[in-house]
Amino acid sequence: MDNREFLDNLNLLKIKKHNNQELLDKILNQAKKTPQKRAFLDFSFFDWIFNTIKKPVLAQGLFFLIIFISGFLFASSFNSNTDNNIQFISQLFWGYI
Amino acid sequence: MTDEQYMQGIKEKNHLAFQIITERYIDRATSFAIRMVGNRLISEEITQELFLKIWEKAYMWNEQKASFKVWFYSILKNLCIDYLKKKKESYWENLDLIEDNFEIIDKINKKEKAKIVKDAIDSLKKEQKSAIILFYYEELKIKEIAKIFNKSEKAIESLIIRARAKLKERLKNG
Repeated sequence: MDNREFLDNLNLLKIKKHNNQELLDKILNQAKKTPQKRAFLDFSFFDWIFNTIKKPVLAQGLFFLIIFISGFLFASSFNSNTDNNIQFISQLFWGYI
Repeated sequence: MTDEQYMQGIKEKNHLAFQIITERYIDRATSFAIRMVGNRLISEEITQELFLKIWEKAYMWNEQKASFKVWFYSILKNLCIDYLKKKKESYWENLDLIEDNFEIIDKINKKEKAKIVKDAIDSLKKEQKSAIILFYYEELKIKEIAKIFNKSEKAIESLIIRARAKLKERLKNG
């Protein structure tokens, strides 16, 4: 089947013209009753993150790094001894070995 | 005025701008939906949902990311695919939806052929089906379809090539 014949075949499937006036009125009336939604948060910061880090694996890596640093800072708030903090975090992640 | 200018109006809750956009695009929305789901009543429900989404969520449209046309077809395609996923299969309630202003002699012949084309399109995967409809019937460019699918132009080209090969095979066998 050549391209011409293929296109002729596709052209057989034309949709009948239909008067959509009733549907149009219905949509417009419903829109009048419906308030517009507003963005709950300004997502520009997240847009910036996702646009900067396009590869999901990098985004995941960054996410875990942030979690790890937060955990470390959290642990530091209890104890000023850094070695103990590292041990505490490794216990958090790996359990007691 | 361009669609984008009217969209700015819709963002500012301008009902006249919404009316103009709806009038401009209502026929395209229903014909795309009919080709996807094969049922006029459902296609009208999808069209209604589509335009209300455009109204309610106008703030989500970003001119820098995509033209209005691309955004419009992205929502429409997703609504149709969501419906098809729930429904599992599409069916054409009857062939009366198809325009049949053929010559009387070959009217039956052509109507039968149209049924074969419809069945062939229905047999495609949902993504292939929507890509074929957007490319051949809605006459969108590969670049625009790529944005709608959020894929590269190469990926869309191969999607259409595979769909076309499948269609040709079906039509040859039909």
